[in-house]
Amino acid sequence: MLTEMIQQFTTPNTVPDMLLGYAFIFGTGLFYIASLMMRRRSLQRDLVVLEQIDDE
Amino acid sequence: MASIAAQPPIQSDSSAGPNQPVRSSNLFSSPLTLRLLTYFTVLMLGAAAYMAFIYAPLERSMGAVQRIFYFHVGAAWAGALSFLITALAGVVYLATKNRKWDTVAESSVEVGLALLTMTLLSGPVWAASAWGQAWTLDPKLNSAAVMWLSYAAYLMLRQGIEDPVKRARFGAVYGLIAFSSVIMTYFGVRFIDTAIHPNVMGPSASTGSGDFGMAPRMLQAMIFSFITFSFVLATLLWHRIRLGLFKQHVEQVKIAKFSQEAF
Repeated sequence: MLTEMIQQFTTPNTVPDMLLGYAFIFGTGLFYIASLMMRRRSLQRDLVVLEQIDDE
Repeated sequence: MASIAAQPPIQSDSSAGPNQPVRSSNLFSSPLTLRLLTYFTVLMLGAAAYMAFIYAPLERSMGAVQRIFYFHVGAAWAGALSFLITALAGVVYLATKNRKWDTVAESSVEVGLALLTMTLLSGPVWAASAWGQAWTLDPKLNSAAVMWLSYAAYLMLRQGIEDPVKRARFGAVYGLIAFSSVIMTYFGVRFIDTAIHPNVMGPSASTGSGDFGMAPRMLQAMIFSFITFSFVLATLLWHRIRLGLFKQHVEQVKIAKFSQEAF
């Protein structure tokens, strides 16, 4: 009886949900890393501009 | 011209007073170590993905969506750890008035918020599939949302304070108060027996025991995910602290330039 019930039970196909969940996880991570890189580059540009002002 | 930009922004200067702009830190060792840590963390993430997608068995009743669990819980763990660092850095700042601890606190809030965002975005996807609705009035879910809002407010409110000393003091006190939302989310809701969100570790009010009967391989994948996200936290935090110190360095150069021009 129990064996029959187990055999009749089908695992749902939730692969698209899993992929969506991981897209959110990795998307958030990549977005944050990109924001760190952009801020660092912006600060480096500021430093260069400051030195240019000094040269003038 | 490239000399300033090429210089590492973090330079050692132990003679600076506690309220001086941060020019230095011996706490954060060489960028080579940071690069190695970054590469190692990427490798760990790859291994954690292997364990989540391949090594851990398929959960019979929920199917593949249950695999969100490994990174969802790992990110939640690292987020909580990050907010603990915020609270501790706040205490150290209040005791020492050294601004580098304010930078640590601010950085850990930002990294913790990114990690908590991963948890809060992936959780509803899993819930929609497993429970039939993305969000319920479950105490743990609502408490996590309050926690996210509290720390988002921390970053926004800081922007409104111009005086760096006042800003740092505000951040330290706020970071301590906001940590109560972390305690509530991870421990307080265990005493509410109407909660439907399972507790991964430790007992819950509804069952009196842990809610997860995991297969050994699932447990191993979860533990590995915890370790991996601890490395993710360490790496992101280190990068973010360096960025914070770099920003202070640029501000210091700006102030020096404009004060020179004024005279």
